[in-house]
Amino acid sequence: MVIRKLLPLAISLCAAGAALAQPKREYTEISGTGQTLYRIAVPPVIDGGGAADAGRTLAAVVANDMTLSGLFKVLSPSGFLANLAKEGTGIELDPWVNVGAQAVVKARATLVGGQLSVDFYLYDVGKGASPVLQKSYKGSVKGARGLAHRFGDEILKYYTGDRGMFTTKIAFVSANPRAKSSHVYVMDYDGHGPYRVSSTGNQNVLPAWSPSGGLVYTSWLWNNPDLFMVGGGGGGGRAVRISKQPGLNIGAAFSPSGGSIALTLSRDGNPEIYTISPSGAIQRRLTANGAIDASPTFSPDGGQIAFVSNRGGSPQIYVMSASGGGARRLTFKGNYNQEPSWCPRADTPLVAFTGRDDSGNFDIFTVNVSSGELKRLTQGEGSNKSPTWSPNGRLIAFSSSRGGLWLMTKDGLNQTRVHKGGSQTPAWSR
Amino acid sequence: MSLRRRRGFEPITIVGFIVTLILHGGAVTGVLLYRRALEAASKPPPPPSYVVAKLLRLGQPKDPKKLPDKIVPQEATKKDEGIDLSGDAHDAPARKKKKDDDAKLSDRQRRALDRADLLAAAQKEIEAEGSPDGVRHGTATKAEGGDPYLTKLADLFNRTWALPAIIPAAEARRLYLLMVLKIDKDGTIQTPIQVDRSSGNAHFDNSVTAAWQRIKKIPLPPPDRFASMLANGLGLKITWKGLQ
Repeated sequence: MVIRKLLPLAISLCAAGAALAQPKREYTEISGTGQTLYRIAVPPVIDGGGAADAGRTLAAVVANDMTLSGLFKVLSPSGFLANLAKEGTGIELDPWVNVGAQAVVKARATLVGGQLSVDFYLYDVGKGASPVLQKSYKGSVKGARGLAHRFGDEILKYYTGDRGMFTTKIAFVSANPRAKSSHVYVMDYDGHGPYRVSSTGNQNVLPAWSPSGGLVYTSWLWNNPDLFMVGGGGGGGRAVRISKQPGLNIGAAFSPSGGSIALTLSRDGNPEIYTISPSGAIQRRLTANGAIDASPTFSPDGGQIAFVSNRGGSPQIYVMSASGGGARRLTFKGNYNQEPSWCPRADTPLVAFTGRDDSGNFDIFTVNVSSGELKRLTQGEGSNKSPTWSPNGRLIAFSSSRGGLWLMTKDGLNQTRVHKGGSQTPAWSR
Repeated sequence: MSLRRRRGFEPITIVGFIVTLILHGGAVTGVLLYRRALEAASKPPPPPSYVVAKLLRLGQPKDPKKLPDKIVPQEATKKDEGIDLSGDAHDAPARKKKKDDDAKLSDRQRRALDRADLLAAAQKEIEAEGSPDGVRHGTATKAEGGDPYLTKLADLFNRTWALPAIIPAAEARRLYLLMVLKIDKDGTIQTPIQVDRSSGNAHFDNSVTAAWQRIKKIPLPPPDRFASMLANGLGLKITWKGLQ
């Protein structure tokens, strides 16, 4: 009995003694410098019955999401060594290690009674042959892309902890010179399924999203640039005029809480920035000077607003309190900086904007709100304008004279066209 | 008579007049020169002419008002570049073969070949130690500073490992992993890799251990540390600094 009680104590003492007796180990530092994309394999989806076409869509959409994220390199299926038929939805480690895969996505899709069922599995090869993520979804065949985007979001969240952006939308303006009209369209973030939103008048410009999914834009329906809102609880699919001040009602941006909209009004003659409620009531005038103040964009905490002003002689980016006052100039280089868009990540104090360089070309830049450091994201590839951040602050969408709408990482890497048609002033949903 | 005398001037008068004029003119000129000299003495000296020299480090100075250029980051470390580690194992047989061949040559031929070897070696040394355009990892084939063996290991690891992009650079700069590299007698890395302290980020840890597993075998340590490394392994602190 006594021995039993003393045995653990004796073992502990021995272990402690052994630990003390061991010499202290020295560690030689080796530092890496390179950074590489995470290699992910997305083999064909297993057809559980009647879902071969949907399966192809699912695999293609997940693979494209991973590529567009700028974080993953999708391995070519032609190089796979694994016996996929034998593996099923599981994996054998060696064949995947040998092709350099760090992660593998497996899925089985089944079509029963017109409903698609999909089981997704994510394997992290470094963690063994058990899935690190498993999700099941059900939906229509038509909604297969949406199911794939949802799992893409889960993968991104697993690896980065960030909310995914694969189920989000981008609004943009497309002009038709022959009809002398411009309309607001919305598409998936990857360019799929664009559809027209504006039904009011011939000239519709500068869309912006509310946090609840509503969309505001300026339309000349009543021969004045008024602000309209569609969706997001503001009258269903019908556009509602929410601001009809005489003169400009333009360049709207929702606060992160959705409680106010900052925009430019010229009701007193000069374009100044105001905040209004979502129903259109004026809350506050934020600027008051003889210069033009426009294009407001809120900081992630809603406490500050970046905007464009020519009060210093040329259009430059300024920052002020969201209640007005305390304006300070943010950009001092270049003589034509406009279209600011504040990164929605609280830990990334960046404002993306369009700058005109000394050769007269427009490109996308970021400026650090804290340090003032400028970084150029596009160069030497046409004119690039109107940056807008993904809701997780990882990607930037912009329009380019190369044609259409493009995505890139916040470092200007992985530039990819997602929409070919003529498109301007994109706005990424929240 | 009196009329004639009134109209004319005595010569002495004329001479006196001229002498008076000369004396007055001299006095006025002297006063003017004296005043000018005084003024000149009281004025500040004219500014010296300077040659303005600007020290330029790299071509033209940057225009402070100009928007910056895009910085294109370097590609991730490639696997097929860097130091050739296979050289050590094959050095001895190569030398032996050369000796056998030499035995068949005459003295004169041998001396000529030796001179040619020296010239070739000198040329090779010049080419191997630099490139005007710069080469990733340099072109040096042997580490000359620090610990050559550890330099080899670090290079081998860096050619295999790169930080996964899913880890933000800002976070990665704060991470470090303490591990022990244990090997068999032939340099084969023992798995699983012993991790003494996790970095706190599983993706970081996995990528490091997976890299050592891919390396599989490392060059044997020098004789003076062979036994110690075989018995205790080699403690390594893995960090990521990124491109500065």
